[in-house]
Amino acid sequence: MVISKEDHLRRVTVLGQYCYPERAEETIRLVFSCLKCVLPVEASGRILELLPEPVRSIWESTTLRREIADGDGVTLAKEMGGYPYKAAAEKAFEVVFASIREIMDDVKIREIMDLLPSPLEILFVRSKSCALDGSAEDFL
Amino acid sequence: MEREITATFRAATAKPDYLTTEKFDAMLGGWGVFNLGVWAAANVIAKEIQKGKKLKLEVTNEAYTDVDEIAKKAVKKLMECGADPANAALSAAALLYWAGVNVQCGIPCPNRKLGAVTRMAAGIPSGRVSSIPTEKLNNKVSGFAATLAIYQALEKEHLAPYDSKLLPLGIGGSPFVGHTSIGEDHLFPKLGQKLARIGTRAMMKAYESAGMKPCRWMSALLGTAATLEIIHPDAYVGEEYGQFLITRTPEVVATAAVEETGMPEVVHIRGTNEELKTARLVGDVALILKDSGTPTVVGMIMFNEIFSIIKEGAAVGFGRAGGPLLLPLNHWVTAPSLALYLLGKGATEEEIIPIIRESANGFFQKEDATVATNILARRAEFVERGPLTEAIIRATEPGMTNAISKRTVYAYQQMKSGKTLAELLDNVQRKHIETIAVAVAAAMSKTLNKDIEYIKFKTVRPGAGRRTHKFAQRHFAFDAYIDVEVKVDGRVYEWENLLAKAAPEALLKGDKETMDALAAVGMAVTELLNSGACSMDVVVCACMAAAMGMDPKEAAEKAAEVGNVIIAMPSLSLKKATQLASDIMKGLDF
Repeated sequence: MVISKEDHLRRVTVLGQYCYPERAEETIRLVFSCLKCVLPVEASGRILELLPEPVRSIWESTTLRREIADGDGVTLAKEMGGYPYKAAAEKAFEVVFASIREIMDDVKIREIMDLLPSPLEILFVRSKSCALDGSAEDFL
Repeated sequence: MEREITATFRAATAKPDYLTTEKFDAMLGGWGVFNLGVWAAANVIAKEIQKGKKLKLEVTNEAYTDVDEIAKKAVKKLMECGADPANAALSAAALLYWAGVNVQCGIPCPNRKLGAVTRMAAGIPSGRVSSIPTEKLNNKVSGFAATLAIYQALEKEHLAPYDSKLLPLGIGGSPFVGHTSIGEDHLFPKLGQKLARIGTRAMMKAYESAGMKPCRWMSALLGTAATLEIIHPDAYVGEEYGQFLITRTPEVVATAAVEETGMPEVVHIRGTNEELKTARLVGDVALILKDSGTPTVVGMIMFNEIFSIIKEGAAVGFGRAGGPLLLPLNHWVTAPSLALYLLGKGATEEEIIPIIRESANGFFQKEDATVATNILARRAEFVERGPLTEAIIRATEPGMTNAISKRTVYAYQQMKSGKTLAELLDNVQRKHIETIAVAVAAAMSKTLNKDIEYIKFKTVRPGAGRRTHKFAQRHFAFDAYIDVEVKVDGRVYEWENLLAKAAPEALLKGDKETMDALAAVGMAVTELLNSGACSMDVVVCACMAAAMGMDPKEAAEKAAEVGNVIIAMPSLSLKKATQLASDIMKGLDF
């Protein structure tokens, strides 16, 4: 499934319950930036190959904000994103992961999941659907 | 450490009731309020979250879910604390909403709605929006205004986007309309938005006509809720209104209601600044209101205060006790509602504490707000202990200790240097009034975008002359005399006997210029009239006098006489506190 960048941002806006589309792009870039910080170079490269457009372009154009990162990506995201609590940073990862999962096939999803450090892998699993509506999970 | 300091600190803080003029025990009967019930129910829900219960309405094939069970526990706790069943149902729904429960799921069965879940947990019949009162803003109106206007409009003109007579036989009420472009792209959103505007406008007009500043939040809520009684409240809508499986009619309808009121499109959570789409919030909460029974005005006050965790606060209508004014404590439920919201979002106790602490910054009197929150949390623990009161006490205990300690040391030093209780308290009261004036001038300069150079209270005392009764002569809250001067954008305004003479005259004459200028001081005057919610300044001085040997009864009476503005009304606990200070002093042997 190929979708435009605008449609993807719109979907992330909905999944994250963001009030402005700008928040969607900010969140995606924050999450990608943190992933690039905590992942080995090879894993990062492989994710780039696996990601479909338009997400791949966003990944490619996201600059590494920090050379060395301590701990897991979530703690880093909380700090860099100015989130008031860690679960809000986790939610950002879930939203971005959910949006990616919706446009990828199961084989690639599995491969990306295997490349993630375990705390992020848990979030990736949890992100299967973070749609707002109680009905949605049942349908998706 | 001087023994007088120990005795005073301990006596003032021994019971939560001692630092306020409020009657905490009466709060548990539901007489006018049931805010301690809200604190307790929030703790009940929080404990269920910590047990790992699922706070989500889902399309599962089972008769009851975790949410039903939690709703029953929360409603029961609220009713034990004096809430009428309908008020308990509505408050429980509002708390569960902030805890993270979605307001609706499924069509047609299971069709779970949060308002109905809590209403059925309370075992009460459904109500109608026309019977739902607003919260009290001196006066109050009801959803009847919205319902009446909507039905009058339906009678006067045809509001559906097509001629309904053309609908073929057999498709009315079927998916032919409801699940297709006819319903989702045209009928529900277009009719819904028209009705919501009519209902919301009628609410705003009713408020104004009854002598109140319209509450935008409540107008949008009841305008939307009245509309959802007519249009399909569960329908999905066309993509232009929102995404499938995400956006339903309540949000679409609320979008029009929000526009009609001029509310901001986005609102924020206190202490975290997280953004919420106002239309989504209004749609969700209107759906709760529509389904949760027929609350009383008391229930609506509590319900509205649960939404005071929205930072835009009283200016838009989200409760009144979240700041900046220090309202009577019987309104206060912001801290437990905010803590519950945070816990539901996954925040830890360590993360909740600084956010609760930060929320005190939204008040003109930050120290008083911290102490007020602390004593409420401590009193609420008598009713239901839990993770929220635990976190709130940890958040406020340092601030409370600091505030009482500073006052205790100051009182000790002043009295040790020879000042009488009357001299000490007169000085403390003047400082208290001045602090309010400075804080309000600074805050209102920003709010009104004017330069309020100063607010000077020249005379503040009981007995404005409107009443001759002795009681009103003694207690500021019942006939306040105020002379005040304010400088706004370089111009000086001066009013004598503001509340009994200047303000009513200007208002009744329609003197807009004076009333606009009064906006600069109105909050400061209100803050004075509410004094006593946190009475620490008076209590500490009186306790110190008792600890230093003054007769406890005499100390309490003298303190009440001199501090007659900042305790505003009679205080039963003051005598108990001074007696305790005296008792403690006698027992100290160091």
